[in-house]
Amino acid sequence: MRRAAFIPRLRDNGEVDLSCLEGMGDEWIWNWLKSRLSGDDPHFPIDPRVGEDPEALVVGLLREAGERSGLWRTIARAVRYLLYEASDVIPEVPPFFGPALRICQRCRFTEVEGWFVETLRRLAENSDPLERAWGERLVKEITYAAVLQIPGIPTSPARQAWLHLFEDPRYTTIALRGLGASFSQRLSYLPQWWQICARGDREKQVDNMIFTALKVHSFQEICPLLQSQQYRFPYELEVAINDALERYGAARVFIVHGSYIRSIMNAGRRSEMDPPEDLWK
Amino acid sequence: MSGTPTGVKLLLNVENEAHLIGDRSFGDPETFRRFLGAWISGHSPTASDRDRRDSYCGVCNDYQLQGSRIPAEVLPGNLVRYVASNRSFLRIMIEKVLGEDAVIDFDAGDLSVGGAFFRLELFWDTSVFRSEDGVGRGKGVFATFNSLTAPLPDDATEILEALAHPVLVSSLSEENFLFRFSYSSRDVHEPRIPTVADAGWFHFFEPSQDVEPDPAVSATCFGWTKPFGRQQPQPELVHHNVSMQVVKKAPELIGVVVR
Repeated sequence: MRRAAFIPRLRDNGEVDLSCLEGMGDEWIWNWLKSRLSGDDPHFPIDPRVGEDPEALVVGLLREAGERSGLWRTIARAVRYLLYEASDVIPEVPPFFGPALRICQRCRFTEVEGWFVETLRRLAENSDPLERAWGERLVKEITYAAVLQIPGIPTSPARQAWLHLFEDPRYTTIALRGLGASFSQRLSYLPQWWQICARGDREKQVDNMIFTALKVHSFQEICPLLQSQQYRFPYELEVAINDALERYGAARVFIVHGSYIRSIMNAGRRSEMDPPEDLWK
Repeated sequence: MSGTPTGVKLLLNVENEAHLIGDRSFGDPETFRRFLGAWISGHSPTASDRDRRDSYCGVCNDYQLQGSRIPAEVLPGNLVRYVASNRSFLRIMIEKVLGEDAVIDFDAGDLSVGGAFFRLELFWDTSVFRSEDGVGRGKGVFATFNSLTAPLPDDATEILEALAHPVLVSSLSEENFLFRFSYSSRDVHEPRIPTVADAGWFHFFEPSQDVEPDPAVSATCFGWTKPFGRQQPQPELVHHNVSMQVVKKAPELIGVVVR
């Protein structure tokens, strides 16, 4: 049976009318998506003057349609096809690949989990071939999307790959997010992360962690979490956290001492011992 | 091409194009003749719509940045670039200036668009950008400037109407933000009047009138948008893409777009 031709419809206010895409079928959606993400959409033209992202419309449509809708599932399947298509043509980089990854950074699709687990494992085993083929930029985009698609919870098939990437200074910050979905989960990885992360990069990452933690939680919530880490964190990390807290109007949480006093404090200290509360009064 | 509203307008735009002259003088049709020849040769009646469109876009790509040159004496000191519906560009700035952790928060929605711009202003540093981090996506970049005769409104939606940018998604405000940044016109190479080739498949573009650029009448030296609604046309030009290193001040969020 021949499918009806697509008729794009806009609402009175200029929005795309979702109903014109519903029921268009997998093959049509795949073709449209492939073309649009490659920068060419005959139905909803992409504005080159203001640098419109081709995927912006798609993410907007997905959010409006919702995860339970047929359109969400159809687009999810189309994205999966595109990801495998990109893998099949290595070392070529199809133009739709980057925008398809950016959709995956915003919308979670169970359909693409397999592709991300497989790709993250390959990356963790040896990043060179993928970086040579796709370039470091796109490989990084894959890991950003993987944070959402395949978080490294203990039961995840991607956990080992995340742990491996955590050791690599180029991926350690992204892997930190892959391993710890919440602020409190990430705290236990922070001392190791601080040692691995590039020196010139660490403070701005910490600044962001604190900015977002204050925004998403509250100072009252994060303060005890941070204080529970006193003596586990390296001196410079504590300074960076204190600085960030002050920058955003919160109080310092660490009593930061010079390395001399610190070494005295740590000398002979058993891990289960807490410092006397009145030590610094 | 003429079978759809988009095609009809594109065809009209091509008919009205007068500034696709390359390095020749105004009125010399040779460059435009070659553009048309290349287009026609790819426009075989046996080809599919898709192939004909691809062919047209390919020819446009080849003929970008070939509009009339804009005389240096009429250029304003600063050019302004408006960027809309472009999270990927903002993401790059976030990654370079604020770090990867901020990118993940931005993707997850924990760092809002407003929060991102607030922090970009705090930490703005052009040294983090590389030469390939352009102010725009392609070879050529559209820009405008503050025109005394046609001041832009303050509201994001009205600005986009003045720039004739259609907003296709408005249900998701986080997708529809508008920001701007400026850079010195001395930092750009060979600014030109935009032509149909620069606009490609984007049919809301309006070709400049068939008037020779005259430095004494500066309005003739730029392209002008054809706004939606009641906004005033805005000057526009194209120039070669340049690195974000020229953007000395942090980009400014204008707002989200509401329709």
